[in-house]
Amino acid sequence: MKRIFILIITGIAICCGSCKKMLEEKPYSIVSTINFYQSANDAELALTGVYDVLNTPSIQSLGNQALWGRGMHYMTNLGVDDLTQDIRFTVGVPELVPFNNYTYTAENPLIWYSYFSLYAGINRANFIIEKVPTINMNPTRRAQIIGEAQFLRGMFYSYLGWMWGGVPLITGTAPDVSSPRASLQAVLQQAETDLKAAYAALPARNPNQGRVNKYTAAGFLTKVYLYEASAKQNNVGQSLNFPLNSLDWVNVNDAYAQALLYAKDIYDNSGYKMIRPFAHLFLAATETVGREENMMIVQAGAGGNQEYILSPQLSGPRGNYRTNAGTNGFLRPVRESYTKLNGNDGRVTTFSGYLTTTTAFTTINNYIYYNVDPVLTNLSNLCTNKWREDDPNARAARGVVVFGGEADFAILRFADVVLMYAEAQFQTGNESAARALLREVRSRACNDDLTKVNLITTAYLKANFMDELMEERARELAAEGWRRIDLIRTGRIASVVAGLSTSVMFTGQDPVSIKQNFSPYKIWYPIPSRDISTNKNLIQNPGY
Amino acid sequence: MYKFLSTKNRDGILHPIRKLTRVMKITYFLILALVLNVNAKTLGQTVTLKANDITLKDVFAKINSNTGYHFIYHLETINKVQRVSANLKNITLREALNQILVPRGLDYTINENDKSIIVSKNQQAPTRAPIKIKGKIVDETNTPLPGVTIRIKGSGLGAVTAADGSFTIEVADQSAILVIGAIGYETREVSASGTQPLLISLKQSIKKLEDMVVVGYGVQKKSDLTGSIGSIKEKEIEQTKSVSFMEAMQGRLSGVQVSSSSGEPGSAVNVVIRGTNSFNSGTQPLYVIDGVQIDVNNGEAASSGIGSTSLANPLSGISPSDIASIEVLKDASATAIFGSRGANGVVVITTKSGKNNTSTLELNTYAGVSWNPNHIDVLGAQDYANYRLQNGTADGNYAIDLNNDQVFDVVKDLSGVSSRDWQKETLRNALIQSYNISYSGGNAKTNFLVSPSYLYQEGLILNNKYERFGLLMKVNHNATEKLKLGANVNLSHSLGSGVASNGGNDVRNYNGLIQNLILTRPVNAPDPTQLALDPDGGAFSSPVDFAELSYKRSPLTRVLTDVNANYKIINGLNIEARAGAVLTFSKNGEFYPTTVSWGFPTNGLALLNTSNSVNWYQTSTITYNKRFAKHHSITGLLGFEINSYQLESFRWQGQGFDVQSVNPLDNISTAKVLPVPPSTDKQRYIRISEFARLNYSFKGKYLLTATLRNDASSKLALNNKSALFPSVGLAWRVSEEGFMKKQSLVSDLKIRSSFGLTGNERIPAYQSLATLAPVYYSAAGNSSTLGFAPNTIANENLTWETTHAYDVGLDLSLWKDRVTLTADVYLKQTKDLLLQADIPSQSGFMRQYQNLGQIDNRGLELALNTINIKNDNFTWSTNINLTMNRNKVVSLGSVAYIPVTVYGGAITTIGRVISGQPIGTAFGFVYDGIYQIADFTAKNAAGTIINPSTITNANLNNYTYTVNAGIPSMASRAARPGDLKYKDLNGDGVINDNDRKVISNSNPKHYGGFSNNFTYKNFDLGILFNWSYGNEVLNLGRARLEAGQSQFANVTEAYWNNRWTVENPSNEYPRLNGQGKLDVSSYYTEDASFLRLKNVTLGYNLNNAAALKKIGISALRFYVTGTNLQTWTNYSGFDPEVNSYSALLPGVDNISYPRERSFIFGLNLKF
Repeated sequence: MKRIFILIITGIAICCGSCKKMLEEKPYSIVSTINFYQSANDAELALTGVYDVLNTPSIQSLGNQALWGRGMHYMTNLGVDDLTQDIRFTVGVPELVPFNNYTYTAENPLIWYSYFSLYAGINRANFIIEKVPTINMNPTRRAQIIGEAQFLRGMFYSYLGWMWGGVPLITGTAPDVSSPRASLQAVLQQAETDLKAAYAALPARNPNQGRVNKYTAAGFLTKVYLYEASAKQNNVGQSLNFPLNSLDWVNVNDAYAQALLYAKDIYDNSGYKMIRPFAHLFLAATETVGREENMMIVQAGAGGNQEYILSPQLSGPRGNYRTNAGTNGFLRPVRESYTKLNGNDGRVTTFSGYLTTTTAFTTINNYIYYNVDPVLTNLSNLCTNKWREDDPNARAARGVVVFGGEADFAILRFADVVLMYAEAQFQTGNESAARALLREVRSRACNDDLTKVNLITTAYLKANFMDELMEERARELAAEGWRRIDLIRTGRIASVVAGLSTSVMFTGQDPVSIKQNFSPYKIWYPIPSRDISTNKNLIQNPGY
Repeated sequence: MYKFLSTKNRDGILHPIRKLTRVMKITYFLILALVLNVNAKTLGQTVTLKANDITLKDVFAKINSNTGYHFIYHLETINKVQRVSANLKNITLREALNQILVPRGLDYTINENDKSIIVSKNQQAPTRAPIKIKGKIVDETNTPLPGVTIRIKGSGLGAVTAADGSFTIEVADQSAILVIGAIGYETREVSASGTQPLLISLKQSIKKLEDMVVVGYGVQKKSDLTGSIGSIKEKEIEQTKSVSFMEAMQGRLSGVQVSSSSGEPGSAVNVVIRGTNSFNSGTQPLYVIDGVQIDVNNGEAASSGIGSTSLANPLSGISPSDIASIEVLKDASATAIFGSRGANGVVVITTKSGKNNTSTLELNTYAGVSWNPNHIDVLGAQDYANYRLQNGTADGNYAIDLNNDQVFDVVKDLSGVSSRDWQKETLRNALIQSYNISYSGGNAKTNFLVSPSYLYQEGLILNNKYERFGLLMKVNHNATEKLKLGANVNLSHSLGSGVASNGGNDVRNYNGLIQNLILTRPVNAPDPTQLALDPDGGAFSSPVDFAELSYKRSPLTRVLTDVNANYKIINGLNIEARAGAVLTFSKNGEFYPTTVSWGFPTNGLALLNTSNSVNWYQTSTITYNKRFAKHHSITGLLGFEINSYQLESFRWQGQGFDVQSVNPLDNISTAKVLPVPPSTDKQRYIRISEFARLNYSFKGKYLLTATLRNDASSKLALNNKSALFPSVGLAWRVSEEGFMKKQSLVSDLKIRSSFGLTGNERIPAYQSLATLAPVYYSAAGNSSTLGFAPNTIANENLTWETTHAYDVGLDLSLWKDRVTLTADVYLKQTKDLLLQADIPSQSGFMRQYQNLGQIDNRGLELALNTINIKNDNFTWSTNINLTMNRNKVVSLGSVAYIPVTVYGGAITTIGRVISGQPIGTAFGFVYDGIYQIADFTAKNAAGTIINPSTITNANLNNYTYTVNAGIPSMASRAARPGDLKYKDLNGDGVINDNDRKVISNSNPKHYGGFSNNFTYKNFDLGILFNWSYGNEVLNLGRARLEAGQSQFANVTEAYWNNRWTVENPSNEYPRLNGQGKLDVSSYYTEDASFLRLKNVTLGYNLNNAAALKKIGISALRFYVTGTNLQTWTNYSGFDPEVNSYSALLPGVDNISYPRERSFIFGLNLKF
């Protein structure tokens, strides 16, 4: 018995002796930031982590397709003469509804998660920008990795600035969670710095297909400068009397000159072009040829962790995504979006009726695309017909889930750059060059049919070139996420909303509420209430 | 008196030397005797002596002062003698000495000459052979009592009764007194002289004070407690007939709030002791099952989180029929010995054990049926068609397009079409069966118990059931006088099956079966093989098809083992060591074939999850107890404990099954598509603890308990790994004071108070580290690239959550314990709350585990037991327990509030934790009726004011409405007639986010239970009510049942018939397309107070009936139990007792599983 007693006591003593060691946390399934960012491979993994933000279903288990997987399409297309929602079907997704008629508040979860997702991307990029320079690896690739991270950070800051105005500026890996909002100036200038660094560091094409390059950076630089110049020129937000988001600091001429510089470089040297036919920009079947024009793409496809674009919830012909790859019809074109187009404009095919057939289809590169219904004269079945998914069974066989969009989404494409180039030319005094560029875009739209090009040029002609250009951008880039920002930066949003037709296209459409709920302060999204409440130094945008 | 002259000693052998001395002594005594005889007359003096527990020496002193005789003795001789109590009046000295000395083995000689008395040891042996006494011990109902100890008064000898209650004992003579004592019975003294066999009947003691109570690392007499401990016994647990012991506690104990997340059998149960005192860290108490500490970790029950999030209860494997008692330790004096795990209270479960010298076979079985007592009335076919036409989603199934303009004009006549009532078709009368056989017994040294059990319980929903196989095995063995060994193994295998999804955390689950059986349209049920043709495009299966065609099975095996050894080093000093492991294995497999809505889009969906845990521990304790200097008694405990917990899980998801005739879960390689890479996870943490406890009692009146524990946990940050948790408890047994002795009203009165610190570190492991998680980004060629991205932000300061607990309590018994009252007031201040706090997005993270703020819980607990009537045939006893708890967030550190989100569904951010408010509050607008046409000025598109009387339901949306002066309106949207209207709280004329406030409180003002137990002859009747008063539930299910979230979903009749229309300007129900249905507002707040007739049991007992004895049955009991027989409530959902998955806001109902009503018939047999 004594022996047992002694054994136990000894046991206790041994246990106590090794206590400290036992209490160290040993992670089994988890990688710690402390021992990561050590090798070339780590750097590549970390970079993929930044790209992931673009269409990830969730970050840190939170958010629900907040960026280009779904949410960003709601935040950039709605409320203006671009897209509207069929509230009959979105009623069950209430975080999406307020973007249709300006009823969003600081409590809106999509605003929370999209704002957060952009910062998550910035944080991921910050780790690369800070840690990768010391990694012992191929210096060229190292510089490129850092450049790509800088591009993405610059792009994320651009969106934060465009959508929220001045926001906290975080550029390191130990973020100050109590830092106040930086001015819009500081945010956009940070974007400029990052994009310029990327422009300097990146090659003409990224060895990883679909990822960013020198010209993508140039394209976003053009965007940022055009935004600054036009917003200053049009006194955007001045009536709100909110200095943080002021654009007073912008030198309009310099900014337009910069925009011209970068747009010209892309136009002259990038090798990107406007592909033909237009429809092939938006299909998985023609992704390769699409990449000759699509400069910044959000890639989607099988594998990974549901890295899809949630196409059934976006704008496309209403049908049954389970049978003919139609959408739920959540997002529908506004009447004006369609009526802007002349019948001779080849881009009328980017609109359609519903998708009802499960038997009639067209085959493109062995992909089966079901045929759409024609648009009814009362427009009650009007849908966007850009991004299309092929037969669900065929996709399932490729391992793509039925609700997952596989077609890449282009945030930036060459035609957009051409139109921006035109804007920069016009604003720097060269209207004829600008009109020539406009014609190039229209020429592609008509598949180079000169007669039609002339017809639509006449039809679309406006005395004020900017009016005409903005209309052209609306036609070319319908549902691509630029109309709302274009209208805001050029000071047109209030008049466009006021002018929206009140006649109803489909049951439940409610244009009256859009017009009634718009207010000038709604050009800036509210800073999420959860951020205001957790960082007392943050101030809210005016009006909220 | 001269019987000592016997020449034989006890052995019957005369030792030569002893013989010689003996002869000398005899001679001496003979001489003395002669002298005494001579002086006999002088001994007429009388003695009066009153002695109360005094030493013999003191007795002698008293006699000396009384009579003048002085005593001569060896100290050695009398020191071994027990203390003396006597009450002698006017008896002769000799008689007095006979009474005092002779029973104590002493003899005496009186020397009259020098008035001295020589006291010596009695050397003689008994003259007669011992007598054998036979007897039998029974209780009041004549049931034999095995294992009862019989002692002979004044001697160390004893015996124990056998299984049939019989015993045999040898006594010196017929005058011997037998003392019979058994726990729970009144002690009796019986003369051995009665007719044999002696039939001794023991009365159950109503005096509960001597009950032993299981405390942390030991047992204590209830009377010695300084802490607040509630307990329920076997009988009450058995009455409840619940799947888990947790539910058995409901309504029985003050301070213990039990709520189940769902009525689904085997689903998780939430137990909160003295209020919620944590945010994200666990709020469940620590469970100690036969000395083995177990935290509830729902992760042990594997779940896909997709198919169903109605959490499985990982402890439901413990069969309530195996439990002997449940003790709930509530205050710091009782819980601080568990240190970092004690902050939420501790539930100590003791399973049944075998009894020495018995052999018992017992069979318990019951069977019954349960059903859903409520029905929510939704629309039939024709009304539904009307509804679809009016909300704009009609198709040819419901309406007719008269002019072919693709706009439907009139409703179709569906009067000939039968409506499906999915509630009736999917819910059923569910069967329950339970069998438990226990075989127990033992000999003098060893006892054992083996108890296999089986439970089969059907859920109310088709194909949903819960089965449990259990086996409890226990052995205790006294290896030597000093060493006791024990082992126990508790095995359980439970199996939940069927896709009974509850309203829960995930979008899919939110659209689970339980919701769909109300919301599914009453006509046009899709053909399961043609789901694509669902005219609403949703490919939704009918609830019946979904239940019948889907597959889900979730087995959970739990092995609980414990071996222990107790070694008595010297009297009072014991060392105990125990070690063991709790292992769990669980698997969740789900398969949704192409014929159900979840499987259709992906050509089948299979989900496979496993989860294994290994929890081992080793505990060593040394206890020392000693009574010294007469009035002081101490018990000291020193202990060491180490505990390691490891959880490994695996997740797999597959899609695209061309072969569905074989269940793909049994052949996962048939999956063509893996939408998410399979993943594994492993985590581990370790706790190392040292602890000590001192119990000190002075005269049994003043009691002190002090504990100290040092815990170190691997989960916390490097510099905060260990902490000290002290406590002290004091009690004063007023009734033991002299001044209380004179009265008979108060039989016991104790005042207790305690203070102490307890901790909580129940957060996921590794939260103090900065970590990365795998992510993916698509690459060219339909592939994806692996990446890594920061996932958690380090918190280098992460430390324990600490609760400062104060308690003052009172135990009062009146009229010989006919009335007992226990009352406690307490204050629990929890500081440094571990919280997954929201942090600003600019950090790149949404949340971080932090130590923030303070929560206070203060409350009052009352438990009143009365024995109203007690006579031979009839008893009536009553128990009322009541708890009032007030919870308040005192501070949230630097955080303004914590948003409370429930995932799934349209309304997600529903609550806030706000400083100054309790936990469990919804936050939103204050509902103020419905906007009426008269509230507005309406204009047409041209801007002309129109006459309100021209507004129709059809053209309502064509006009622009401006609210009239004095009518508040939403800032973010233009109000319209029929919308929900809210109060303008700050009076600024607009309704915006600043006009929100706390709109519901999930915490009851008070809750409790009320039970009455009657026995009449062989019948017994138990009636249990429980109630909750003043708690509110945000009934979000109404948003769905009132056309708020889907235009295809069916709606309630109550809504449809009373909704706002131009013709029916309701002020209660909004318009069909009215705005505001998805705002968080008090429109959804409902009073969820209830009073429930929870349990009625009527039993009939037959003990020792001759007829039964013939077939070997010693006792028999029949009973019938009804559960949830009636609920009085104003709540409109299925059941007011709901519990969402967020501890921060339990009162949310997203349409939850109905609570069954059942009738059960049972039979207990003892052989």
